[in-house]
Amino acid sequence: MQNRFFTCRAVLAAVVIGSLAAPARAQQAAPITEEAVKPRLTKPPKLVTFVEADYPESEKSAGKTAAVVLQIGIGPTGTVTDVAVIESAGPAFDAAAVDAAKRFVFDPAEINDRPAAIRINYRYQFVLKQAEPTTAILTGVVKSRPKGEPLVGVTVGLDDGRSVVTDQTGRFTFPDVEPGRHRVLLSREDLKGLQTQEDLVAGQKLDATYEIELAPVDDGEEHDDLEIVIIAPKLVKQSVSTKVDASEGRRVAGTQGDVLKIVENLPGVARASAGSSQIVVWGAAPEDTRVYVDGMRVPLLYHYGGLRSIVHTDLVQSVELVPGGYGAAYGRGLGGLVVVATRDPPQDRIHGSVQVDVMDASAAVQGRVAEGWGVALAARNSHLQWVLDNVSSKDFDEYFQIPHYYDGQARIRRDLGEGEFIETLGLLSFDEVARTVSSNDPRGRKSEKRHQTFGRVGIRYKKSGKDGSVVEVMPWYGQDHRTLEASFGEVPTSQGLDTNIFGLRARYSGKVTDTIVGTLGLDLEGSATNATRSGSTSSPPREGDAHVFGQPPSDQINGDEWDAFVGSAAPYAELDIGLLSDKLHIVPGLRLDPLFTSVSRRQPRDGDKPGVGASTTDISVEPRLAARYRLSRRATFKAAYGHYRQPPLAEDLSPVFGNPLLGAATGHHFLGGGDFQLTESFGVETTAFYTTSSDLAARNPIPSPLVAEALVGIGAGRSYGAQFLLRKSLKGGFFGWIAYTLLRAERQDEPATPYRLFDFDQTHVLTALAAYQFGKGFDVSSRFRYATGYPRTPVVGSYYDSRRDLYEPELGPKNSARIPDFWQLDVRVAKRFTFGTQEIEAYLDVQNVTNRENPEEIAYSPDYTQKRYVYGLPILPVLGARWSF
Amino acid sequence: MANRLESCSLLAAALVASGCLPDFIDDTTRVASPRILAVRAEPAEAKEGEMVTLEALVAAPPGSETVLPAWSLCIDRKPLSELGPVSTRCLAGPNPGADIAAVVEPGPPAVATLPENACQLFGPDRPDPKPGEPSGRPVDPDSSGGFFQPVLAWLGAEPVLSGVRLGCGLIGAPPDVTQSYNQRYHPNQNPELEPLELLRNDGSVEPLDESAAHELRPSERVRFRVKWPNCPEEGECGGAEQYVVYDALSQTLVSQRESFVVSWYATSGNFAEPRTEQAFGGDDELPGTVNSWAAPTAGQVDVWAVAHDDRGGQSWAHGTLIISP
Repeated sequence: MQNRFFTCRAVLAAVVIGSLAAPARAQQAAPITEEAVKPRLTKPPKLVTFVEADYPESEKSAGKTAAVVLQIGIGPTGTVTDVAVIESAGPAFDAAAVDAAKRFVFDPAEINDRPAAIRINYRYQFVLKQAEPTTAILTGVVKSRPKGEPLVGVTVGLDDGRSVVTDQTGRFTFPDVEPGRHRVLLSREDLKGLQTQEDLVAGQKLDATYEIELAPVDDGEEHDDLEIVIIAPKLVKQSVSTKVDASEGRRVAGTQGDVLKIVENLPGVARASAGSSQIVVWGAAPEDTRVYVDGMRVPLLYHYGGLRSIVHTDLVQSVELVPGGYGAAYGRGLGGLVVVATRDPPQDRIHGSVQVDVMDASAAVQGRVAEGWGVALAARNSHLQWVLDNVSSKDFDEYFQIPHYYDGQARIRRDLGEGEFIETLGLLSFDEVARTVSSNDPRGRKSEKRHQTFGRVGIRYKKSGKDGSVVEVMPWYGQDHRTLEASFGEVPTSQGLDTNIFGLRARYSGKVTDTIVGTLGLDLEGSATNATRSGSTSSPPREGDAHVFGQPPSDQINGDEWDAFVGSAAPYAELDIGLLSDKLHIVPGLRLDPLFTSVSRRQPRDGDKPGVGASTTDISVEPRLAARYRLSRRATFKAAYGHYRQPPLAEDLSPVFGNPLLGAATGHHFLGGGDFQLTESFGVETTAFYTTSSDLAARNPIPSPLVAEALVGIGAGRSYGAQFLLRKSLKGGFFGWIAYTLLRAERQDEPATPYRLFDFDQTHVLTALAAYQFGKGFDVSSRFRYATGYPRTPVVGSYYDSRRDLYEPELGPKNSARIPDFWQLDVRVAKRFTFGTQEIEAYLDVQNVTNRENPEEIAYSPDYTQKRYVYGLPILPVLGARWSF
Repeated sequence: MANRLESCSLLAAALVASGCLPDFIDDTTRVASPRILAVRAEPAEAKEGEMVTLEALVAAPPGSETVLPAWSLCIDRKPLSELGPVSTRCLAGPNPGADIAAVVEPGPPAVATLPENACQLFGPDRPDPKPGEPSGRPVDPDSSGGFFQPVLAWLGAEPVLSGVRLGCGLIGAPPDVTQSYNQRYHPNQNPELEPLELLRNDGSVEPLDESAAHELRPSERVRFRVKWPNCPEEGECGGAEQYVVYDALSQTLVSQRESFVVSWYATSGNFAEPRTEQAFGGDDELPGTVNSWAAPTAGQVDVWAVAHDDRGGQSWAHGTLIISP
């Protein structure tokens, strides 16, 4: 349950000008006409000093709002002379409103162009506003073990010095606890003491259950005076993960208020090229990192161009990046995990927002619609093309790919009881980008059009028991549609993929013994794809292809259409074993992953011979092991190992362009590190890692490959390095972090050949960001990024191909050169204006404030004798506004 | 001639994606030293084992020594992991080894015999299987449905790649489609160009032949024009021929007409475009293309127009101009 913190805001409603009160003065001498003496309001009074009333505590705690109508007398100097209540809202509200109104200051009214006294009616509105929570609530119940009876009179102490005693129901509550890790001590004379540790998050309420044993009988034996017990099975944390709350993520510079873009700033994530929507984690290919939204796998996290994520910010509760070593609950990916959790619909009332900037417009609404029913809806549509068309006459499509995107999310939740709910979730995303380069030279004409749409719908049932057990079942279904149409000179490329995808995630977590929490689960996923491809055999390029930017693709073409089904139903089990008085947690896991792959044709079409399909089945046992050792309250060490595998992509199963019998690629992750909490809000996390992968699909290196073996699973990869995160949690209006990754990622294209740099290798990636709330609604944040440039294959010469009438490059060792390093400074300034329950935020998000020319690619002249850099985006100011209620 | 890519402009609004492309000055139309501009095989399409005559257009500034290229036929099949048009081993030199390339006597004329297994090495015939293994993967055709025997012409250590179109027939298509293909397909012919013409601003047209000296003023702007024959719907022709190509995705034959692209070269001066495509032509008019050119300040200038059809055929026209005040 979310805590609510209330502040009052008074809203000026309709101001009614009352009767004129200033007496007329007697005049001598000249006769006075009827028109001259008639008083005429020439200037109304203007409130220049507003005084905020103290919200009556009794009304605030009751959640009441009200409006008090006052009659205010204003003197000719603008001071308030008297205040009377015309419409009462109760004594408390009345008194508060009168007290505040007496201290108002006005710019006086003018009658016949002279300052004059006047009376006005004034509506003083008391509105409860939900402010950003800064503290948490810790509440819970203390019971006896093993009977489970509530214990009265147990002293529960917090490490901030506070203590409370449990009531007749064994319950206790600490309101307004600082977020962070806290030590909790429970004691009573006749009971064995208990110490434990809780992590509290601002705006959240943690409901804990503790069981204490009776104190040992004096039998002459020594017993521990203190027992550390964790009762409520907590979410089994991944060994290395970085979790960001939406309240922080929205404020970071360069994100344009999009929470999910914070992933780009986390340790372990390579910097994506300008305009790229790819996520590269610990040297893994973008398609190797799995993205989940509320348990449903989605094909991408960001829209084309990397401008926006696919989920509206208001619906995001948190995003967690696990770069490697994840537990048994997930699989089918050699890279990392991005897990997005959407927030539960608020229970107080309807909330919403509308946001507009130069790129897109979006709206969201969520809240309780009836008792036990919550709804969340959001939608976004881009309009950048329209903006550019109206701002400039240039045809930007010729030089830039302007993406067009829209997305929508829906969530309907029904509470079935305490800790039990069922909900329906839906996602929709559309992306399209097109670019045409016209030229009088027919060889210089290029066009590209890409399109991707996906939709998901799922039903989730979850029940959290009082004993901490959790049952969760989520079936889901989706459709993906992706197309590519391109031409480079006379060489065409066309690709289309239509996929029906379904999944089922189910798990039970519960206490096995006092020190062991177990999880049993099932992770099922299947996808049926109809694929078509025609055109150049080398386009689109694969990772590791020896080619340079702008190089025409091979003019060797072919065409194929095939169906592929890839499915697996993976049961898994995981134990969280607490040892050494809960200081040491060992989390062994096992995942059994049977994989079934089926394709419509084993061989390329041969005349009108009927196609013969092929299928492969295998099963993999994937052990996972993680360990956390809490040396002290401020130091925790961790290590993890995992065996992973990833099924082949449907687009690689073509008998013409790929290999229908491609098997799964496999990998191993090893990692170790430590978390050090230097202060309550300041911590350091370090992780060293080593990952390997094998059986990666690669182009067949032999001159005479077999039929249907254009790709073979002979590639290998490895990455190693370390990441560091120095993090300051939100406190006192400030938060920030410095993330640094030192990494080397390599690939081996065929056995017994030297390793070469991975296409997405970045030796150093540094991100430093900070955000501060100045108060009065002002936010400022900045972000500095530095990254090593991507590897590129150098051109050492060229020769003329007179048949195609173009030059071909002669290439040096693959990926033996690099693009120069990247660095950039972004700044965001925001101001919030609050009007009762409504808020308007104006922001200016400026990327690349120094207007640095960052090289993003190396471009060559047509004969490859000259080379220059292609630079990324210049200074990019994004001005936007957001209205929320 | 400068081939400029227009540079981008900065805007206060949001700009997306790949950013600004740099400017390059493309002087590939300038012949500043001896270069091979084109390679013509006769016949333009031949079967494996047949002999072809190879001719290279070696362009050089006036007064240069005549240079004859060396020749080699690449017989090394490139792996799929190499994305270039020819095995890199064949680019090592004119004589990289008998298992990599066959040396062709330079002549002139250079006469080469296509390998007996050219359609297996570079065409749709599947390589012979090894014992216990299925047959190998055939080579993929180009967008004209063609397969090519790589030919390299060498000036010193610098190669120019070309290819002889192979008549390998159609493999992998349904029988009725194959039969129709065999009936309708005719081998490619090299383009037959009319003499290069000089179009002056006064409207006069001069064929650039050896019969007269063609003089221009310094920096004078003129146009060059080249034409080729009108081709009927069926049959062989030295112009843009109609031909059939097999579409693997639909498993049908598609009829299409060749497109001509003309590349322009000169020993000095500047062309408006490095390449042009058909700009005119109809029922009663020979098809052709034009290009504008600005003369240098003085001297003799050689001009070439090299026509490429999209089935690998090449041909050229040449003219000489004198720039005098």
